[in-house]
Amino acid sequence: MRIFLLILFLSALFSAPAPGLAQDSDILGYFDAGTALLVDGQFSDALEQFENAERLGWGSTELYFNIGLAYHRLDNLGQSIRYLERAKILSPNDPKVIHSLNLAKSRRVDNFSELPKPFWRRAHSWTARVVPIDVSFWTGFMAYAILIALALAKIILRLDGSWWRRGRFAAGVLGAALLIHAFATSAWPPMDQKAVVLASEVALLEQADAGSNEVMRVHEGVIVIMRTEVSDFTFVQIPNGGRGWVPSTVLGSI
Amino acid sequence: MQLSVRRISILLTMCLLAIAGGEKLVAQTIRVQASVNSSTVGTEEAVSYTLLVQGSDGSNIMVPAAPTADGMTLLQSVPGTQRSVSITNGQMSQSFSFTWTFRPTREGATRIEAATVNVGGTDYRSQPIDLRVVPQSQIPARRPNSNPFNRLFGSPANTPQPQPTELNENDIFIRAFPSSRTAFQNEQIVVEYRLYFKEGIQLRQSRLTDSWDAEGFWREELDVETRPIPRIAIENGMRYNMIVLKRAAVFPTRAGPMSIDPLKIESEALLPFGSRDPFQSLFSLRTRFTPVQLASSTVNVEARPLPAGAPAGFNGAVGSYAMTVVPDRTQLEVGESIQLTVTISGRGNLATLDAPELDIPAAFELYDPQVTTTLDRSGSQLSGRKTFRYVLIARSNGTFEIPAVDFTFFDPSSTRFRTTSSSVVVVTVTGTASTPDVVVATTNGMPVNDFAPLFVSSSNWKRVETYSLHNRLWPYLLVFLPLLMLGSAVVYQRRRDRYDKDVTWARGRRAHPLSRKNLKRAMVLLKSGDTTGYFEELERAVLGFIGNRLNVAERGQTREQLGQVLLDAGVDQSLRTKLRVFLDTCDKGRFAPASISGENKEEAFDEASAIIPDIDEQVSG
Repeated sequence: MRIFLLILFLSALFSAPAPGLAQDSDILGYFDAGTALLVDGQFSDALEQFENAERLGWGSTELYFNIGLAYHRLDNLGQSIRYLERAKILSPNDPKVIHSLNLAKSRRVDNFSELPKPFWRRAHSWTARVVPIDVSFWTGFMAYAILIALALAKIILRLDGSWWRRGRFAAGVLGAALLIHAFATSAWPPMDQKAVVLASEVALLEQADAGSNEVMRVHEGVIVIMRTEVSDFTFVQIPNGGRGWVPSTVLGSI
Repeated sequence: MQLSVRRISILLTMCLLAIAGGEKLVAQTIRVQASVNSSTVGTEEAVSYTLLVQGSDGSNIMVPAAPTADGMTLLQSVPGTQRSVSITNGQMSQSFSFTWTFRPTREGATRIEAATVNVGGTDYRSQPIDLRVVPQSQIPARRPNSNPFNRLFGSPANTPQPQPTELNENDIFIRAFPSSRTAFQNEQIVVEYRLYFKEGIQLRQSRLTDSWDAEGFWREELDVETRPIPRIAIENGMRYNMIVLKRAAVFPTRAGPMSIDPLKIESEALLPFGSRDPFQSLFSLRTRFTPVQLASSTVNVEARPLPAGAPAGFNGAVGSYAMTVVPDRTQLEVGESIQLTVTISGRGNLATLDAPELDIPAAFELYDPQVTTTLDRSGSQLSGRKTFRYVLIARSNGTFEIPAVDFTFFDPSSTRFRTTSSSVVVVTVTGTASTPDVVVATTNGMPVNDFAPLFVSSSNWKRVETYSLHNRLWPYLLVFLPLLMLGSAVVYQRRRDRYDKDVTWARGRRAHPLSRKNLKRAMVLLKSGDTTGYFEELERAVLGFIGNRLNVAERGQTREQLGQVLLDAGVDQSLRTKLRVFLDTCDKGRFAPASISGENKEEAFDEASAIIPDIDEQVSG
């Protein structure tokens, strides 16, 4: 009976559904229709189809790239960079994405130098990219469940010995590390919340007030880090470290 | 009568000259200037007075009367006439001069009054000229008057003339004429260098001694005649031959005071001898040429900065410009090219003009323009046009608008920024975008200056929402519920172990449940009328509780042994007595049930229910 309950518990644990794997045929339909319109040069219509796919809550490198391409053909530099950045997040090493994004960025008015990131931010970004939050959490939870199962086996079934101890230790360390990483990455994301300036030109203001003094002016396509948002204004940091408030409506989050 | 004949002959001569000069004349304003050959004359010299009329073709000039002069005698009433024709930059202009000769009658200051000449029915007056008559001994040697008309019409050829010996600064000089001495930054200034020399002086082997420079200016040479014909010019009331040596357009590249270097030349000047001795002229030809070094003055220019408030598209162009934007076609196929020609023409520094910004739709691949500059240096200012030819290759089909091209420049004449705009060009591209004919690719297979090809399929879809754990409940439940389960298992296992190992504790834990069970069963027996069984169960409930609670045998103990056990456990005397009475009642009920009334039965039950907690309380205490 005890063994049966243990097996039931473990099978319930490991058969938990993994999120984000379901496919929706509508999404593929919208994507194919948008791609066909893009081939025909009907960029605005293609964008409508792509946005329908996006509204269903799913995204892909290919979808974002094609949206960026359509915006590029419509001469909308800011939106083009915004979606190519999204594609790059999903596929950081895709040569098509990198090439097109570099080309789009070369057409910006502003060319700011970027502040270097401290090493720990780079390391955190790397680990978050290699082991995403969901993978880290579920893998860590499985290791944790194995630890619990092994502990129960020791308590209830009196199963103990050096290999059992090693198993519990390994599962405990792995589970703890991955769960801590998952929660820490969720609470303190290594990648800043970024946005693209969509207006052709916008002034960075000293305060969240349209009448305050200008710090400087930036132009379409500049990628900013969103620090704080209050009512209609967002406090942003541009790549060279300059900061200021801009109307939230001129930003498109990545 | 003789005079009238002379006047008529002069008029006829002028008309013939005018007719002979049948080329296209430039409409000019009439200018009348008077000059003398020298402002200081000796008492024995003659003064040549010339009235110069410019801006007329000569057909409508009435021969003027000689001006009056106090202290001077007019040697001839009919003037000598001369016509000069010059062609500058393809435009012909001519001037007419009337010359009289005066001789002073006394020493001291004197004046030749203004002369009046009628041109086309309008009288024009010259300016009066002041002279100084000095004793002949104070006059330096002077070259003779070389005016051929003087000789022709009875000039005092017999008058003894001193021979010229050297040149002075009034005989030959260079003068610089800037079009303006103040200008905006990058505004055009034309500087003209003119060489003035008196009649009779000949120059040869002229050359620049230093390279002319204008530091801080962008310089463009303007055309001058390579074989100039001297023109008559009046300068400081004196009559000179004048040729233009150099004309340059300069553009100050910065604001502030600036200067343009003098123009310096070296030459050899021929000083004509008054002697008509042919032998002297023949053998002294070499020696008569005198080396001369001439230099203009430095031209100082104050360059002003451009006013503030330049429009966004302004890139420094100053002048007067017009712009055209012309596509070579507006219908094309994907992969074909269109040539967009942007032409900026006007006056200004075209060489440094930047291309206006084009806002080409991204569907076109834009190449760097081919730039050609054509400058017109023949006019009085530098002008021309600059052409930018852009090649655009269509990469997608559709109808596209090439937005209006704006070109902003600063117009110094109105001191305003002006923007000229082209019209929108609509281009229709047909064909299929996915199969461009020619795609120039980089080494990694990506097209040059264009996006990578689109993706035709997508398989790796992901949820767009940000995966967040820390602000949700279920991840914490998933982590802590197994821990709770584990803790429960530990507690359960420990209790079970204690049940197995600690009998006293185990019996104590069971004492209450068993006694309650016995009491419940006793009540059932009471209701069924089994008095004996009822009292047995009551006694079992109490003694069982005591045995389990104190971990002693439930049965087989005498009342004294039981009392001792209770005494050891700390139960007081009254409760022990109460227990004894209860046990006696139970014995009576078991063995003489008829003697027990129904009321006694219920009292026994209450007694048992009270004794059990009392014992538990005192044992625990």
